[in-house]
Amino acid sequence: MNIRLIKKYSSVEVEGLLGDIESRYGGVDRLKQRAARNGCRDPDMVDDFKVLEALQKGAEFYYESVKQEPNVAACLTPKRVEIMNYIHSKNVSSIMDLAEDLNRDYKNVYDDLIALSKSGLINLKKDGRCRKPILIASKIVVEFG
Amino acid sequence: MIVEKKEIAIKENEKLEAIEIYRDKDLSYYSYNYMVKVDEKWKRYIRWDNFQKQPHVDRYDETGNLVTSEQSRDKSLKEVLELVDIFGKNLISMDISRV
Repeated sequence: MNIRLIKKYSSVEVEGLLGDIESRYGGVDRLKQRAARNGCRDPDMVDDFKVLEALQKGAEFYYESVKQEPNVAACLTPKRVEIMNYIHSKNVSSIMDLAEDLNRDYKNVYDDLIALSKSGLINLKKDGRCRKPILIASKIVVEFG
Repeated sequence: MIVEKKEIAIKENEKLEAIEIYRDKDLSYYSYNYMVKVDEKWKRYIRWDNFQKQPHVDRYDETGNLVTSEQSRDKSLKEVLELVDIFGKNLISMDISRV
């Protein structure tokens, strides 16, 4: 059984990705020169250059993760699916806010988020003193066979 | 244009990382990286790509240094997945430009 997690990056996320690549190499021109010079001696740089080049031309960005872990499917209880659906539709800033919005006990929501995080379905990003739940995929496909 | 980044689990300690860039539905750039987890770190051992429109296959050692780079015919993700599935870690010691 394969679990396919698919996410299309929003324009804001694409901007973040572009800024991240540019700052890592000190600008597009430097990256282009270094990628041409080093080639496959630095394969990550080549990939970053090709991705940056495409994104600058307005390309859409899709991330897909394919896992073969039945635990991922087992992790998806109705309450956890509800959490993921809520995070997908609303900008949730903290676990506390999420628990309040869903009218659920903080501890139970926290435990669900930890389980989802361990299965690679969400990220808990530190934001000051809070931890902000971020959905890794906007679409989950379960493939049998 | 579309950029697709894929991470495909093969086994617990093996995965394939792929970048595919499509221009008008045609695949204009690809890189397929066969990675093995050693001491909790992912290391690239084999890579197929068509950088500068030259399809080739590269082999890396455990420190990430390029060991060999050989011409190869263009590979699809499906073909690479089949190779990785059949040969697994044996790919590291094989003459992969011929497969």
